[in-house]
Amino acid sequence: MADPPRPAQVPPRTEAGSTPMPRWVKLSVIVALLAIALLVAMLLAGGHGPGRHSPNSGTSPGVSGGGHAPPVGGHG
Amino acid sequence: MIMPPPVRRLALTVHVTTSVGWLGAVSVFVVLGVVGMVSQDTDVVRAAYLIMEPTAWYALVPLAFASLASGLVQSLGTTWGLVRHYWVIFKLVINIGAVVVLLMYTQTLAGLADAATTPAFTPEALGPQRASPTIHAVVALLLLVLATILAIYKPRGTTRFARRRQRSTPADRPEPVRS
Repeated sequence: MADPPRPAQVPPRTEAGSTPMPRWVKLSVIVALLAIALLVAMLLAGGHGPGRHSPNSGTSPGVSGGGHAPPVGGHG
Repeated sequence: MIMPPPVRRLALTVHVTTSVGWLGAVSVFVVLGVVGMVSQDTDVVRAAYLIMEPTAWYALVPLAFASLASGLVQSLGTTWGLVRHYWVIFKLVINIGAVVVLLMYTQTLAGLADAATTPAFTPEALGPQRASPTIHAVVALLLLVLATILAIYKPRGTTRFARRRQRSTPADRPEPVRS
């Protein structure tokens, strides 16, 4: 966020007010959707996700330990 | 409500400071992740994993929330608005997404810290998952750099909502700033 928009940064309005969505927005949305789809696929496949590295998750052979807790005075 | 210029500059200072601080903290996290990933010294790897969790809770999380909150204040308190410009929306989505993933990832960090405290801990036991903190930190770093680029370049593009409001309420149109 920064200073409020200056005239040069505000796109000109058409009479119909139908300024098309900029190309950079369309491209970014496509890339973001692909990334999200990839992430969801990884989550569904079980190859990714929070706590996967916990000693109790079975993914860390050779180590053992108790459950986890935030450090003392951690985020509430 | 539009903030008067002195308040706006103060809010902007807070937002830039917390956002850059977050970026810096993530950079440190990349270093910790790489050390934990490549070091052959068990004590060094153990130390890296142990320090990650408090670093996340006491640096990353507070800075992330401060950046999000100050960004909301900046957008709602200026004529930029929250949903008028695509770049503002993108920054908001990046920020919220990063905060959510960060909070979820603290579980993983807690697991790594637990593992590192056990006497039988060996870095090799984690296998390819040793790369996880580095990968997550690098992705976070890229997203925050992207957010910074958006904030600096402010690519053009107003949303349909903004155009509709401009037509219906001319008084809401963004006004140029008098410096």
